[in-house]
Parts: sequence; structure tokens; C-alpha cells
Amino acid sequence: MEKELDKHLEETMTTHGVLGTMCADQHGMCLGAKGSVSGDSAGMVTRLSELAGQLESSSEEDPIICIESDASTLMIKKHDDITMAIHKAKVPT
Amino acid sequence: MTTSPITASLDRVPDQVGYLVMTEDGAVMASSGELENDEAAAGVIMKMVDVALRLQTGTDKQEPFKRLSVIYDEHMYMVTISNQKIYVSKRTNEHHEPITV
Repeated sequence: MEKELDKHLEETMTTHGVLGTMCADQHGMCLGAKGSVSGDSAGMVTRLSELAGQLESSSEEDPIICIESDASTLMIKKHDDITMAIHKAKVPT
Repeated sequence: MTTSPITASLDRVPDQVGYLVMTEDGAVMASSGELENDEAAAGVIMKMVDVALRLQTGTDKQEPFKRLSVIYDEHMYMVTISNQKIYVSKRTNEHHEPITV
């Protein structure tokens, strides 16, 4: 399973403009991290997706969370029990 | 709540269905539309801002985030910090049809 996940993360890294990517489980444990996104941020990324779920607790939908700065965007999306974060450059390099 | 220079510009945000203006400690200064007196949403957004700020300092980037967005299929929440105030705008997520020529 880890090899499979590692392959997916590696594939995501090859996408134009992607600087880093990370996957975490529902407890905030890092399952894999590549590039600019550190595994240390897994807890905070999971917490953000958990809080976003509380924003509209009646909604079944898991929203996308975007944290934008001048140079880059961090996108977070929960799918089932897995939370994924992708760090992308604003101007693709 | 009352209209002030702070909220006058927020009223002009296109496709907006509600807004919140909060102080840094989470007190709601102004609210309108679907977010009027929505203390629950204000509390969750405050926690999200707190985590997002810590997440930023945890990376090599030193600048604070410019905008935090929570995007659903039909609508989105956009959060920004300016002048020690937290501005939240809830907008409908317009799906534009592609232009055919």
C-alpha cells in the first residue's frame, strides 16, 4: 500500500506547478510527503479539513480548502478518511 | 447590523450572500445575509484562521496567507485579514458556461 501511495504522490509531483504534496490519515498521521510540504504539517492539515467539515455540518460534501499567499497556494481536500494537501506555485514554474 | 465604512465595501462583493467582520479575538463586529449573527460559523472560521496561520509559519514561507477559501460545489467562504480584522464573505459559486464562437 505504501508503495502505491508513494507512486501516486510522485505522480502528483510531476504535475506542472506542483511544489509539494502530502497525505494524512484521519488522526493527523502523515502517510507520505514529498517536496515543499513537510510531514510535520499533517496534524494541522487534518485539523483544517476537520474544521471545514464543521462549518456546514449538515452538508455531506467535503469542501476544498485553499490557503493562498502571494507566491503559492496550498490546497487541502478530504476524501473518506484521507486528507491530501497539494502545494502549488501561483505562476507555474 | 449597522452599515459602516468597513462593511460598505463588503456590500459590493459580487455574488455575495452574506458576510462577517470579526476582531482578532473572534468578536463579531458586523454580519449580514446568510451569515447574520452566525456565531457558530464565526467560531469555526476563527479556529481555521488560527491553524492556517500556524501552518504558514511551519513552512519556509514567512508571509501570512493572503486568502483562505473554503469551496463547496454551490458556494464558497473567502476569508482575509486586514488591519487586525478578519473579513469573511460567503459567495455563490457561479458555474459559467463555456463561450461558443
